[in-house]
Amino acid sequence: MKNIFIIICLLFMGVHDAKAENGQRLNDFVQANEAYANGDYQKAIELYHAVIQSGHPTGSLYFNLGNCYYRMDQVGWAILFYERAMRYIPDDPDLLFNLKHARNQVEDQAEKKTSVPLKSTLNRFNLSELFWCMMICNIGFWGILIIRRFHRSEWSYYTFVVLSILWAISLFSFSIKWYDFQYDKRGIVVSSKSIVRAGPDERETALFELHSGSIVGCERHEGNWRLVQFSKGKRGWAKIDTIEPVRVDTLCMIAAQPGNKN
Amino acid sequence: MIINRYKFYITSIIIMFTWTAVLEASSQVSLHVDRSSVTQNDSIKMTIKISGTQSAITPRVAGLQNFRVESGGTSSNISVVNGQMSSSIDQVYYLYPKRVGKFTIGPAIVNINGKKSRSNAVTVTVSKQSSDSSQQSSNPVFVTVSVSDTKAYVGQTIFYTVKFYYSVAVRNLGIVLPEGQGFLLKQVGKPSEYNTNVKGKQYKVIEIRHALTTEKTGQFNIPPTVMQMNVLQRQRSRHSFSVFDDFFTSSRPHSVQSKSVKLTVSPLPQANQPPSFTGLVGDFSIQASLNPKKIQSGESTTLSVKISGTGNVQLMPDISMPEIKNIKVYSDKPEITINETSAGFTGQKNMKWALVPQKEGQYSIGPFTLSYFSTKEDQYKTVSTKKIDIMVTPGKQRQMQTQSAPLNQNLPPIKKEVKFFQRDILPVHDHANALQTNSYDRLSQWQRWVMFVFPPFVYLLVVVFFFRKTRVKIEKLTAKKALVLFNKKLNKLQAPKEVSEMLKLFYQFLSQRLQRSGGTLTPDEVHKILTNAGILPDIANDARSTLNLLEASVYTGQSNQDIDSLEETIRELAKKLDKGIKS
Repeated sequence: MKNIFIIICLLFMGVHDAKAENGQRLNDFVQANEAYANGDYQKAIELYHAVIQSGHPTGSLYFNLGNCYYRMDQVGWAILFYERAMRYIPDDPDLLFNLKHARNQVEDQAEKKTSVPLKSTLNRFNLSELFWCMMICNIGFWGILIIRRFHRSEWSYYTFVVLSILWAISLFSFSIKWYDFQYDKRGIVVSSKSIVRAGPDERETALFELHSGSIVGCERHEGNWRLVQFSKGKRGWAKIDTIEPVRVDTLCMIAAQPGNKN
Repeated sequence: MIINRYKFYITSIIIMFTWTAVLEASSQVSLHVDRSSVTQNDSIKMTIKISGTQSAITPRVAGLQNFRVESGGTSSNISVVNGQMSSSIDQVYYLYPKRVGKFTIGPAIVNINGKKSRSNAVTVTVSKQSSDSSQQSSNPVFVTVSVSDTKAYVGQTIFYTVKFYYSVAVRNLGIVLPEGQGFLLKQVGKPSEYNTNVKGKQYKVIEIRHALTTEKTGQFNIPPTVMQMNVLQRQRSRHSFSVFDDFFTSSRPHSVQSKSVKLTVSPLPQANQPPSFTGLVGDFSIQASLNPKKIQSGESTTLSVKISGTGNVQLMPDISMPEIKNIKVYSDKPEITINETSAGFTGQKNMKWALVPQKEGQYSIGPFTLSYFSTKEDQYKTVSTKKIDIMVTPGKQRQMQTQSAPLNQNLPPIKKEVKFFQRDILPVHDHANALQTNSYDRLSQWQRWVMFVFPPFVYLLVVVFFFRKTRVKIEKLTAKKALVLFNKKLNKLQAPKEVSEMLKLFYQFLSQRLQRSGGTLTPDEVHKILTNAGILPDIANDARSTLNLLEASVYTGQSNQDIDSLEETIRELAKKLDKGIKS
């Protein structure tokens, strides 16, 4: 009896702590919004970061951070956080508007990419939506298989065929999205200028320079240098603190402002 | 029957007369000549078209005293277009000029059912025969060319006329027009054919008119035009009176060429050039009309401006509509039509505007002006329309809306692109949902895997456990029913019953009863299995000996027992085994 009482108390304390944590998170969020409205963008940034670190990140928090950096004339950082927000709320009209607006201010002309129809459709959904879609198809597919063990009829056959196709499509779509999510190698130039050199050394030949907000493909890194590719044929080594990866990952986080801007 | 036939004839005659009367009711006469400019020795084809009649009527034509007239026959036409019937007769005459000069032919006057109809009149210019054709008159085939003006202004349309004379039979005619830099030839109208007399010799003439346009100024030497043809020759027979003479003709390729022509193209004079001049050369006019001239405010009226004339009509300019205070202007797409006639390029351009006055009052529109260079008068001319007044009376607001509806249906809707004044980002997300983590992130990795693997796992469980149980049940059930099935099948065997069939059924019974699957057992194996299954040794031995007996009977054909006793033996044995084997 005594043990049961202790367990209930511990559970109650856990729930109470979680509520307190959520309250703090909400409080920080409201303060951050107020700071933004008052034009104190630096304070808003700190508070939004605090909210992110206190729990799971959300697309809106990254969107708000992007807005703060934009207001502080840091287009590179703004695009970085808008791109991070795109991973969570890719179909948000505010985000699409602001990202387009911020991209228009990037100096470097990006290489035009040919759009793949399936990929562009998938880009409208986030990972969570595709996951639940796959789960429903998964349950449906195995469910109809079970039903067909007991009851083989025409309708069950056609339902099985339809669900098989949906299951395969949803599984394939989720796999692609998950791969893109997990292995996103894009990086954003966050400093006003980043000189790309032929090798990972200050004495190496300067090949070209990139400006704030340009998107590059990040590859391996050596010391404080990262191998990047801007477009086909334009690759080289850039200082690691000038380029921030879009994907928040501990392996990639050898970045300019460690601990502050994840 | 006869009465019916008469009725039919009478009705047909009435219809015919009525139809003729209808046709003749609207008679029209027109006069047409194939060429308006000829030489003294050329012939002119004059056609008088009388529509609305089918009867041959001799017209009286004024102004023919200067021509010798020959009849060219009469042709009649009946046509039905969109259910409407029309008929006409064409009377053709060939006119041969008696003297040089400018003559007016017509009008032609016809009298149809006591009603006089008059046609139009045409003017024909008869000139002396060119020296070029006179010089070459000794040849059976020759070609001459002429230009309407040897001195012209840039942009002016000049006519380059090719005349091909021939007095022998020719086939496969081809023309090679001169090509050069700075001028362009384009055929206008259809080629005309007529007869002419050159120094007392009769020739047929094919006349082709071309419009010559120049882009450059200076002196041009237009190279000769070449006519290629096959001249038909009658082959001379050795026999002077051969009947095949007319059949044996051969063609000989031949070509003739004209003389080259010199042309001087001068630039348009700079002096007195109007500021609104757009390069139009020829003879043009401009007209403007407004319909209606009195409207209520909010209603629409249509302003039409028409430019028409002869010359370089493709350069007819778009007239710009000046802004008028309190009048909304909706422009329509200009319509331009260009015709190629023997007189050159003629055309007209129609421009329309819908005017919607917003306030009452009197407004003045125009005048609209057009400047061109007149080649006839060698000077710039500016023509203009008169001012058009529009009276706008006060209109009701509701009426204005209803009246403007048909205007909008006729005119293309005017839509403006929405443009940004300035650009900026949209504000932060401050709603409570902004903190809501998506459900995928709330789940841990193992939870996601469990959710994914759970449905196939359930399926596997169903397959493995449920169906294993079911199968065991089915097997037990089958084992219990093995004896019944065995007896049924044995009864169903058709006489004469084969030992091999009975052996097969007995083995099936054993397999089902012992819940075994796989290949056929030997008698010794059966003995062993039965012993293991707890069967009394006597019964097991009995089973083995019976099986040996059956196999010997099947494979060697030797058997001491007849079929019926064998059947009875195995029935008894099966009964004992069924009882003895523990389920």
